[in-house]
Amino acid sequence: MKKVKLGKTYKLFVLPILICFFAFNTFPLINAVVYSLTDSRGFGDFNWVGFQNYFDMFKDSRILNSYLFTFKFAITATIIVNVISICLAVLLNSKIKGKSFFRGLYFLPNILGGLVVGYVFNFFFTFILPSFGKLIGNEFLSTSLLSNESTAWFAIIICTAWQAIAFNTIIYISGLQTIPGDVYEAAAIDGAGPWQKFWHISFPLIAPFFTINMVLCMKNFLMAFDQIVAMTGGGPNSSTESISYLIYKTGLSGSQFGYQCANSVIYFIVIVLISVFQMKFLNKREVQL
Amino acid sequence: MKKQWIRIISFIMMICMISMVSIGCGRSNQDSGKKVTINILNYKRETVDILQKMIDKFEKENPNIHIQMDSPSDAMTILKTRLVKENPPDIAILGGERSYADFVDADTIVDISDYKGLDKVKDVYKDMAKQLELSKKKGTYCVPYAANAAGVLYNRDMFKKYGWKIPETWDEFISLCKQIKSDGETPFYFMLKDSWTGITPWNALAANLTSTTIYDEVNQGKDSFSNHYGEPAKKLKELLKYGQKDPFAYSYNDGTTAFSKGDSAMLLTGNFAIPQIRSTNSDINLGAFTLPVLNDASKTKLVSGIDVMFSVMKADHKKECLKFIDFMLQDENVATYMKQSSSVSCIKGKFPVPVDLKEMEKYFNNNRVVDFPDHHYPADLPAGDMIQGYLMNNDMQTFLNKFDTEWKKSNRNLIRKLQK
Repeated sequence: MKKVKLGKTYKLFVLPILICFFAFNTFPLINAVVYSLTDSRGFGDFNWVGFQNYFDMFKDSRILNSYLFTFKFAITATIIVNVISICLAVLLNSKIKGKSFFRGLYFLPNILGGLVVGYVFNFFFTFILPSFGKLIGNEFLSTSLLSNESTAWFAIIICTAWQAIAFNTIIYISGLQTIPGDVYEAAAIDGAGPWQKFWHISFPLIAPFFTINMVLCMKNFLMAFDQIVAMTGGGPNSSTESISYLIYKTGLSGSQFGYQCANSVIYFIVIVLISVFQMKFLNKREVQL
Repeated sequence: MKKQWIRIISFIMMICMISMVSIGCGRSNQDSGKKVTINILNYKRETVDILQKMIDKFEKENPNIHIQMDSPSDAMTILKTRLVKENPPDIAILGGERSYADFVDADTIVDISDYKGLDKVKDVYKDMAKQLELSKKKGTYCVPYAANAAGVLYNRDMFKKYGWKIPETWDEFISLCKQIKSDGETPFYFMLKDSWTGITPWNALAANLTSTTIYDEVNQGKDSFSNHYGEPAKKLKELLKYGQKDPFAYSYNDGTTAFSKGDSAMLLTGNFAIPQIRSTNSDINLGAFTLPVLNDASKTKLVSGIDVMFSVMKADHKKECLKFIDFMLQDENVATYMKQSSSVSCIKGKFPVPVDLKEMEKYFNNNRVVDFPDHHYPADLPAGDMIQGYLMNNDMQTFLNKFDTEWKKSNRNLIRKLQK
């Protein structure tokens, strides 16, 4: 009997959160699914169009391009961020002077807002880098990277990575700290070098953190928005339109609400599939001590 | 049993509290007294100071009406969100563009055809507003107030210094650009990092080189843009030759700043950029002339659209709203507004064309004006991006094909309706 009572109390505690979650997450989601079957502009009257939006979507080159860009962006950024984060974490976890200071310093970008960082980098790429390029006489650097279709996406990656590395590094550092010292001692007695220690001890043992970082990174970068608003606005020539930016721009400002709801439903499914796949695949690699 | 009741009652109370909190949030911005509060959403941020002064004056004359004006950035998105919440402002200050047409089409604007003040509005602009509507509806949905004009802004001091003349034909214009270049100055500063800035010269070119019926004809499947947009595209490309190095690197802010400092002799934009330019250099002596698209000077038309119009979005306080619009239409207030915002009046009467636009005066007086083509483009048509891409890659065929496909996609619901 007692157990049941306790359960009810727990349920009551959970209830407010559940209501909030339903009201602000599940309900809008269902709403979007419903709207995706209409030609709604987001306001005023609308007609039911069935699955027409979904059919049109697959023929739409602009949406296709935004998917290509977003995946190119997310995969490249995830790789860059994780490689640099692991290196930084290993360095910041070793015995160096002013360790806390450096850890604080490298965490700083995470505190700043995405838009602020975006505008700063925008200025950097438009004015500072080109004048530096002219100074050293480099043709490639003397025009703005953001003004070129083939380089703009990479400029955005630089900005995004600069900011995202901070948080990932912290996760990796905490991961490295969970590894007990005696494992390294044992390895040292066996004559392992620093590279072997990293590859055979540190890396497998921080695998759970690696999984978290990969999933978080991929999900965050797939939803890239702030940096794009601040740096390119989707340009030049729509080459840096991420999916979420496209949904926002044409769905809200462009009065294509129903159509972009269909896009966001597909997008939601894609992100869920990727996250599940990543979890399943990467979990297999994790090692327990 | 008792305990169970207590639990149920406390649960209900909790729900009540949560809902009260949320209702309380919603109520907080309603007025408490008897005073009528009119909420205005203004899309034109450049005019906030001018409007606010006029509102203060209005409130003094009408102590029982309180006016609260919001001028957010990206006002159109905010207005759309407020329409979703079914909480529109009483009055919206809009521009005569496609979003307005969408609002009319979605029955979100109050019909004000019985409003007497409409007689004061010039017929050209009333027709222009009607022309924008997607399916020409019965009724009147806006009061056009101020018009804008796009063309070429130029630095009067630089023109005087080098003795350059205002061109009347396309050939003269191109030779002027060559002259400026050989005098060691930059003719234009392009701001193509913000892709929408490319639309301004495009508007002048497309409006003069195509007919205004093209949009309806394409929607009916009788014509295509590829048949007509080659010529304006070619001319736009020609103008790009006379821009600064790396025309795609600089934004609207960078370009207006550079022009205000005298880095370029001209800027391909409209009078709406003047307040922005003056904000970085208040002493600049600038003028504006019509982009001479044709070689027959008598046929060139000035691109001018409705820059500011009032629409009543909520019928609750219609009387008070119209009272405010009446106030804005008083001669004295029209004159103040036009003078301070450097725009042209849509209201009948002798309001001088602002000094900055003196060279455009004859076009206004002879009604040689044509609406901006992009006011007919749907908001999700990436016209600016396509123009930017065309100028970057110099691939006209792709541009023309893309324009047709994107147009058909954006208007697909309308086209399906028309061709049924």
